[in-house]
Amino acid sequence: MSAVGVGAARTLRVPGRHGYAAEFSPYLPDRLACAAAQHYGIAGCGTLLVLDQNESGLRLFRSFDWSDGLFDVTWSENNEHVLVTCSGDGSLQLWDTAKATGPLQVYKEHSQEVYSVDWSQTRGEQLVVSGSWDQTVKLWDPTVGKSLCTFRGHESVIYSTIWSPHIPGCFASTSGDQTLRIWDMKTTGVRIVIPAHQAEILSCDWCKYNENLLVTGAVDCSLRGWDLRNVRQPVFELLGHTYAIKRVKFSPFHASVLASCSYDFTVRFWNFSKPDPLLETVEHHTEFTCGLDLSLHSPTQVADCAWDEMIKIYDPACLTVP
Amino acid sequence: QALRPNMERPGSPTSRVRAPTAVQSDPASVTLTQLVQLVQQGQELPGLESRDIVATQGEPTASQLPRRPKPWEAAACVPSRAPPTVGWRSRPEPGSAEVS
Repeated sequence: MSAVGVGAARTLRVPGRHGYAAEFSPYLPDRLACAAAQHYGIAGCGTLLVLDQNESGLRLFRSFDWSDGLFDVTWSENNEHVLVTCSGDGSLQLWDTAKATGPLQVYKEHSQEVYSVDWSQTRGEQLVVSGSWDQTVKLWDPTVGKSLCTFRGHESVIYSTIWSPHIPGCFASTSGDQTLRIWDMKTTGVRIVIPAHQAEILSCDWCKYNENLLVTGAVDCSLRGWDLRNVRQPVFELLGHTYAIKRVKFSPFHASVLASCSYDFTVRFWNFSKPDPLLETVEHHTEFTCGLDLSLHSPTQVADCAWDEMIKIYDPACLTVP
Repeated sequence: QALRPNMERPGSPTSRVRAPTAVQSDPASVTLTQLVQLVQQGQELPGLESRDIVATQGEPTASQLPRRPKPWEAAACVPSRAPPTVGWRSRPEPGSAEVS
């Protein structure tokens, strides 16, 4: 149980909480945040879990309750103590891991469920974007009590909003309207609308080594790569998941490696540059797997969480064998 | 308390046919299928937790750690690399934003 290494996942069960998002701290290699909801997010309260891993496993460092289910979490990029979550009641919450009680601030502007939050990745900006089922994206400076801007255009619920790691002020969003949209904060308008799937698109992410490349994951079970210089057709398509893809993330370390998790209970690792792109299928959950992150500190470490109440950190074989 | 039975909408996970599972003895643990049935039948949900939480209005604890470069920032220290551009070919599409 205390073994550490390839194949030995560090696991924590959180009774009565169903995981929606997992995010490694950008500061502390062993710290993980997990946004969770009671009753699968259908009703009840939510909990932000802050976990630390060590040789013997995963332990709870702190937990913070909120009055509604928490659906996503993002760490601050300028303060190792601070995180932002979003919830079913249309609000965002700002938390401080050094304090036992919270949240410090609540930002309530969205009129429906907020399904995604992301803290900007480029230097020189400290901004948060949120995406909601009210079909809007909002831009926040967490030191200011109200949103800076509201972006409209999506024609259905918004499932994900992710900042470009390279282009300041640029972010992507995906929606039930079957589009991927690229926005420029400075022109306060949408730059590109990509009808990326014939299905709801639950997730997207930016490649960390090609500023023009994104991936989308959709209810049609496919992942598609998009080059912003020519969006007429995808530059790759990855097939293998058997139910909707909930979340997709590019590797922070490998230009062509990405990971996806799904309602088929699995996490899959891919290298889109290979003729046989599916590297590995990890099936260690017994419910929908909703949260997924790749460590910024270890090229091999991955975290995920699922509706089976389990949070896991592990080193999949495909990332440990070059 | 808002009920959110339409949480099933992404990929309609609850439309999947699954055998009822009773592996957990925890009375508060109901399967997703069981829970959706309870909601649809208008029945009380077991262990429903209600919270009334408000912001403390406190200031964040001061940061003591420097920002760590991202793995891709460390790898990008090659002078020949082109600076980021926003020169995409596509025209701006309908859609607008308003400053609040």
